[in-house]
Amino acid sequence: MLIFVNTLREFSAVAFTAGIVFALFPSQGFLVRPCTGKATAFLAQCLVIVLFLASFYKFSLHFSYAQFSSVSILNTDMIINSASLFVAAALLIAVVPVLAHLLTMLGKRMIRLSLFIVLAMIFIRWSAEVTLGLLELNLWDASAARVSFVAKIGHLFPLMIYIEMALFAFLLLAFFCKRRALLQNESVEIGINRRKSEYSTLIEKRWMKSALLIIVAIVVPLLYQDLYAGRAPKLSPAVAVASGEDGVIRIRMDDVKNGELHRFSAISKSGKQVRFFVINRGKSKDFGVAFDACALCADKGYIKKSRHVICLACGSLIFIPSIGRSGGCNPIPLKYEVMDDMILIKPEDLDAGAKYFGFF
Amino acid sequence: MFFRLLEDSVLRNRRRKVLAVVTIAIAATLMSVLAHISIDIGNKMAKELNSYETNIRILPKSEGVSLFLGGVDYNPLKGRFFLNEKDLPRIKGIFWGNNIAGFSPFLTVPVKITGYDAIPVPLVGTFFQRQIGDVDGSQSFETGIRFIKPYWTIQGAWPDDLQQNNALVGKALADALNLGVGQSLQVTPDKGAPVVLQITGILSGDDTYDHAVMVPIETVQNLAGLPDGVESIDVSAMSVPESALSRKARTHPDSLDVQEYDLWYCTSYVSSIAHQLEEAIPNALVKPVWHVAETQGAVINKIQLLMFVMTLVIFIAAGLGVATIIQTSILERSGEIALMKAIGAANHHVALLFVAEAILLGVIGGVCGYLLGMGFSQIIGFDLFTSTIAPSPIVGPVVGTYAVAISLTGTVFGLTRIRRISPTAALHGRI
Repeated sequence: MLIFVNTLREFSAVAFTAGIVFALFPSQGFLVRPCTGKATAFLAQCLVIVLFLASFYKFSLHFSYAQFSSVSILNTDMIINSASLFVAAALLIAVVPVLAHLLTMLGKRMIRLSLFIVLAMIFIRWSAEVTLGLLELNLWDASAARVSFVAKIGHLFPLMIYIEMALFAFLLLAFFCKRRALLQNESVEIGINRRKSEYSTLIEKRWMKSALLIIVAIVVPLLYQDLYAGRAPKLSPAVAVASGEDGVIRIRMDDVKNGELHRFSAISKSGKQVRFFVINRGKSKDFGVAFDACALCADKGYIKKSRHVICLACGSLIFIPSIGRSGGCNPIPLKYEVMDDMILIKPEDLDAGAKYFGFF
Repeated sequence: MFFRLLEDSVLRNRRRKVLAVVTIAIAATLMSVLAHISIDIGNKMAKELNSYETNIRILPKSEGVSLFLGGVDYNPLKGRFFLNEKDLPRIKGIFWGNNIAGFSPFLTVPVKITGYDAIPVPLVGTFFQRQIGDVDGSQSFETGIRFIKPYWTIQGAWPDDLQQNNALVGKALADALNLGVGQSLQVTPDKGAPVVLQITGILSGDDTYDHAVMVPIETVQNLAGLPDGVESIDVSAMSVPESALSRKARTHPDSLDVQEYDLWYCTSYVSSIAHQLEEAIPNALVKPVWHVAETQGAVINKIQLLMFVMTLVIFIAAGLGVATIIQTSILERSGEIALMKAIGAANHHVALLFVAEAILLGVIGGVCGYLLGMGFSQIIGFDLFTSTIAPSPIVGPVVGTYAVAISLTGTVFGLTRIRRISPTAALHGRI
């Protein structure tokens, strides 16, 4: 899925530019010969090729075969990942003729509008890339404005394909609204003209359907990845616990014995919010109590995912029976006592962990 | 209308269609066999490498000297150096000590069982379940073979580590010698006095120890005269799945830069845990135990290119076969094509008809080939690796795509002929 989405993101601008260029110079065909064809058409096609090469270079920088599979022998992951690369390429190639057709039907104004929008985005994106390159090569001095420009554009880049797809959808909608006027099939003559107009209506319907299909096939996986699959895991909410009159925190064992990670937060004497969690390490009531922080990675916290406890900062797996011991990537242990089915945490032990929280 | 034309076109001239389907099906069968075997092993290997619990084996460094001549191990140092049992707590002392779920040492001597002198039987000494202190002795840790082999089933009871004469007997050996729980058994090593063992349980679920007798490690150490001697240690560790970085560390450890090395060292990859164990235990050779990767995976890895070339060659051969069939078909139907063109069909309309037919033939051939290949792959899998091949769902689309691709490639060569058919000439029979 990630490969699919990354390919779409990187090459979508190329496909859109190519579609617009074909609409701008409809009679020139593919690969204009420099001597006979229109000079502008030739230059436009050169731009598409340069853009493609630039995107290809950018793509290849992050590309490695290990992304496809952890094993060099043909396996399911490898096939699905390579297939997703091809499907993404096929979808983008399909964008070119459909977009070109839509724009040709809609006329010059829409072509110019789309060209302006797409070229503006490309210009902004690549100027950020070039700035970054110059900064990295020390040819330009790093100033706050330049760095912030590069960072902002890098942050906004994932939105680019949504803008392009919105443009595509807008063109489709415009075409749909104006279809009567554009197709001029109001004439109810009998005979050959009528049949011709019916035929062209049929063909246009197919173009519209394929445009809709392409938009759905691109946008749905993108949204799935961005809104669901690609989101970083989040900490479960911490239950705020108040200490008793003697300052001791009491947690009922029965509430936390189900083997899940129970996260709590309490306010230390210094006024900091300190998180800790309680987990049942075994079948009987054998509890591991630890601060929700690591000696190495600070207070990013830990989550339980299926059977494993994972450090959010570095993704390391924690062996559940070892929670409550120090060392490695284990959470920092928190001292506790057991009394009458209650876990008791003394205020001084909690305060000792306050220093691990609230750096950021 | 298009589908009626297609139906008519497919049903006509059935002998030729059957021939085309058979050609595609044969090619698809071969592809299906290769894909089934390769993908099954690839998946098993990926599952092994992506698993969160891995087994690691620690051996004396001298075992790493490989001197194989004609398949026989001539390592002159074999069996002469041992690990020290006193070093065992160091396993828990590494940075990833908390990720070590358990470990168990082994020491094996061949013994003869009184009454069955003919065959020597391995007497395996190990930890069943015992407490081990940390390096500094502050915390203790429960470990033993019970924790690293959770899939073992024991009929009877686990031996007690403190009772040196308690023994666990492998199921195959127990069946062969008619031994049962509670019986005693006398074993004699090559040199030394015989020992009487008490059978507390019968072990099943592990082929490695099916013909062995297992006892607490001290018993074997006494018999062999090797106090604290340990031949190998099996460690079960919680790790994170292999990634691009750990693959790089595994294949080219020197190519890591400082940052990558730190990240690798501080992530609980199997390779980094193994590396740290090697640092912690003197004279140790530590390697992850990847069964599939080392046996079946190694075989497939070597012949993968061959398989790829084979599928390509068959693709071309079958494609040519289909091309001939389709070209004859187009030539035969030139009158019909000319008529279609005369009443307004464009070249691509006619071509679409043939393409659709090709896809249909490809799908039928692909399905036949997929099913046949599944059967054949079972036979080959059993022959090569003595294991059945699980049908992976991905093979279906792969074989289908391959079959349709053959069929389409064959057809595309014939399509140029459609353009050349001129209605006037063809309808006058001048072609």
